[in-house]
Amino acid sequence: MKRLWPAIGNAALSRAVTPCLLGGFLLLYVGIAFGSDEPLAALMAVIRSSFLLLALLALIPANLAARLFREAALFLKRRRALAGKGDDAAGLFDDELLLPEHTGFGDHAGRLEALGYATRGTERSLAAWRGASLFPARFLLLLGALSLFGGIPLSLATRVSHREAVLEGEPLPGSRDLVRRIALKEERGLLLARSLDIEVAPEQGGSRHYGLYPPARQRGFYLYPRHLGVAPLVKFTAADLPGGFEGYVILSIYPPGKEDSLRIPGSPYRVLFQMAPDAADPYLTGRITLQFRLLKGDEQVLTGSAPIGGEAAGGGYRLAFPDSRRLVVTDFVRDPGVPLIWSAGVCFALALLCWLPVRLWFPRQEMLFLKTPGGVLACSRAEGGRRGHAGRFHELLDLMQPYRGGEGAAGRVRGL
Amino acid sequence: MTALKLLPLLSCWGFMVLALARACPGKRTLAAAAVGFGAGAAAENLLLATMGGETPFRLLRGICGVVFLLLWALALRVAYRGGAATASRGAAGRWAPLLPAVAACTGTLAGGIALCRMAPLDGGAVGFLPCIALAMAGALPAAAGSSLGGRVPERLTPGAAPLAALLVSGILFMACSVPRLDLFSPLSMEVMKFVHDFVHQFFESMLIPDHPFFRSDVWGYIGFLFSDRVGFWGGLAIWYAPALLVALAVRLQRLPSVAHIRQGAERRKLLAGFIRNRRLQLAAPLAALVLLSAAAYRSRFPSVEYWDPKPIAVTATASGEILIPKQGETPLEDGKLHKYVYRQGGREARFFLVLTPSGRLTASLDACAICKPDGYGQSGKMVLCYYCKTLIPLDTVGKPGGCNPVPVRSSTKGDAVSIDGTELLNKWGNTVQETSRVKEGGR
Repeated sequence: MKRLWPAIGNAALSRAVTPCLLGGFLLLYVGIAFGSDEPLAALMAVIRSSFLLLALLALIPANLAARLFREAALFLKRRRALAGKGDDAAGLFDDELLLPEHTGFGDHAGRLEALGYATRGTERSLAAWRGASLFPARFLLLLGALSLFGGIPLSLATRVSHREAVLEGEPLPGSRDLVRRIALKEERGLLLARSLDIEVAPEQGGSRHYGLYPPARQRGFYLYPRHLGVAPLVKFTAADLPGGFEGYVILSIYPPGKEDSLRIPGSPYRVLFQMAPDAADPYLTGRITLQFRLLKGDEQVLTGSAPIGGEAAGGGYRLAFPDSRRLVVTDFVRDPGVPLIWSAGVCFALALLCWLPVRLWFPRQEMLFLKTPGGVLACSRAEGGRRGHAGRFHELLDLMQPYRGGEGAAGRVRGL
Repeated sequence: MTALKLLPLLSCWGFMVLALARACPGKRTLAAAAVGFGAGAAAENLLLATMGGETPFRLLRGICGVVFLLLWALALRVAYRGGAATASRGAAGRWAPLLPAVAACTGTLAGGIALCRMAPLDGGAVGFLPCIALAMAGALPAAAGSSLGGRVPERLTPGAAPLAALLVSGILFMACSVPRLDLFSPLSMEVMKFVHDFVHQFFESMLIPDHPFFRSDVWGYIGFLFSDRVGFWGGLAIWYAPALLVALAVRLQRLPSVAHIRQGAERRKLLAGFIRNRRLQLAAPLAALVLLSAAAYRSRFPSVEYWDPKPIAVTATASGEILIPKQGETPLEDGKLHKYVYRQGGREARFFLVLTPSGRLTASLDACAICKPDGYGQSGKMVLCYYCKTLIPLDTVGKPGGCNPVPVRSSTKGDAVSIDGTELLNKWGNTVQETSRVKEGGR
């Protein structure tokens, strides 16, 4: 048991866990790709349906969280050591060397300051550093990865989605809030060319607006507009259909050219609809003309077009469209993973913004000389410009402990 | 002619043997390589003779794919460990006892691939004498390697990971020289499928609106992700990545600690020596990159000639029927591919007629339901999709599915084949629209 816990701890902190798990899922993807035309969707479905795979996927954020804490702890420990507060700096730096006990710090601080290092000296230690640490960027990177790989299993395990038509003049599906108006406008944004405004009158009064992006939420569900459509009021009469047909019909015929059909219940009639193209977008202007083909069985008996508010007739058939309502085919999605994945993108962007200038222009370079019971521990670490910094460190060591003939080496390398 | 076809493969094999000879001087490794080559050729020939069809090729291609994946895993490992695994110069360190086995496995694969290059496209095995000649040709570099390997400067001895990159790249080059073993084209296609799938799933998962709401210029950039160029460049990135990762791991090897040395000159000498050796270690991964480039080139521009006649323009009768006489300028039942193009009202469709080995005269679109409509070429009893380089036996032409050409309904009227023009145009329109939507256009 004494050995088990450290082993589990090491495994949880191992840098190999995440790549190994990702490699495993990649292999699974490759395997699925042999037998599916949509392997990614198939892989997602497989993971969703398997508790074991979900648990394996969840190990990734667990490992990342453990590493985040571990690296933060190491960073803080190193800061304490540089501030002269720590007793043990072993294992915190890239290069370590134990010098004899009598080694003094002399006026080396001034020499280092002349080289552009900030220094801090105490009785027991001399610390020198310059540049900014990359740790904030590293922290953001790990935090972003944690959000991303936390969001993915959460999304896979808990996502609920259903598709409904949101129609002007009708209650918003799943509530009693009334959809007052649906408006599509040309509004050139950074990425989108149009804006969609679904104005809803909530039951308790006031008004709410739902747009395209970022999607607004209603009772915990995101409203994700998928397609636009119209619901014309269709009045159809035929000689052999005395009762005729009348009703609002949901047609997914936007953009113009897309075809949808209406089967007249209890009759052999079928009407195929298209939105007639116009110089301006009919959905934007509201001037919608419907092109139709009336089929009786497989035979086409009438064809023509009529604007909303108009009608067409011929051969004993009459089709009229007195009114029309706009509609948006919308996915109602409940997915707690989405905000996590969004925040991962923000973290990654911030990490890059933080990392690039620091790594290029202000890389962190540190030296620490710490008196310990066994001697003076000399440590060095650089996040960039490693060779130049190492050269300065070695020259300082040469000054601290000059070469005497016949001595090939001085000090002992520790922890390498 | 056969010797010419095999020359690039055998040259590559010779180069691989040279690297093995340098990594592990001694006759044991080279003997294992030579025996492996002969055994691989014999085993593949046996498979061709007993199983026939595409199975022996698929098997070998699968093994090459697994080997490529293993190289990926190794490359990731050495890159992740900051080059520690490549640090020891010379493969003959920890891994020396394994080298004869590695040489034998490499030889087996190389022998099998070389034999596939000689295999007749119509199916069947290679004759006994050519097979023996191939085994002997494969053993020659091994024999020469024992003397030549010693002449390669010792400083060029590759480490374990660079050697693995070099050997696998050699195998991939050899495989891509045989259209039926080509890995790069299927990889490009899978990458394209993945990118398309990923973008689609990303939009869905992140609740991003569909293209009617996007600015056209922005959608143009997103649309680039659906193009076949992404498949090619993405495939190339995956293709090169293991060798690049190995090179990166070598380049990023940490300098040894010299803090304990109190003489600047001695420190500099030690570091300079290490850096020089590190540079020389890059030779193997760079050679692997050259081989991988050559493999991708062979895959894109295969040296095999295909029968691909220029499509003959045809017209339809007043009732919309296309009639093609069986005994016209070229007889339709000669076993060759006959391509036609039908144009009407600004629309056009390309199709072909071919007599299958079972004696059926079938009509098919010159396009499949998966790939871009780059068309088909014929070699013996096979047709090849120019886009994804999949070989399809003539026996299965006329059957739908996969990368098979999309079948078109046809009938025999007297001495002519009759095809409905409108149905042909619609089918072409649907197929091309569908594949263009997936490969070029939107979601």
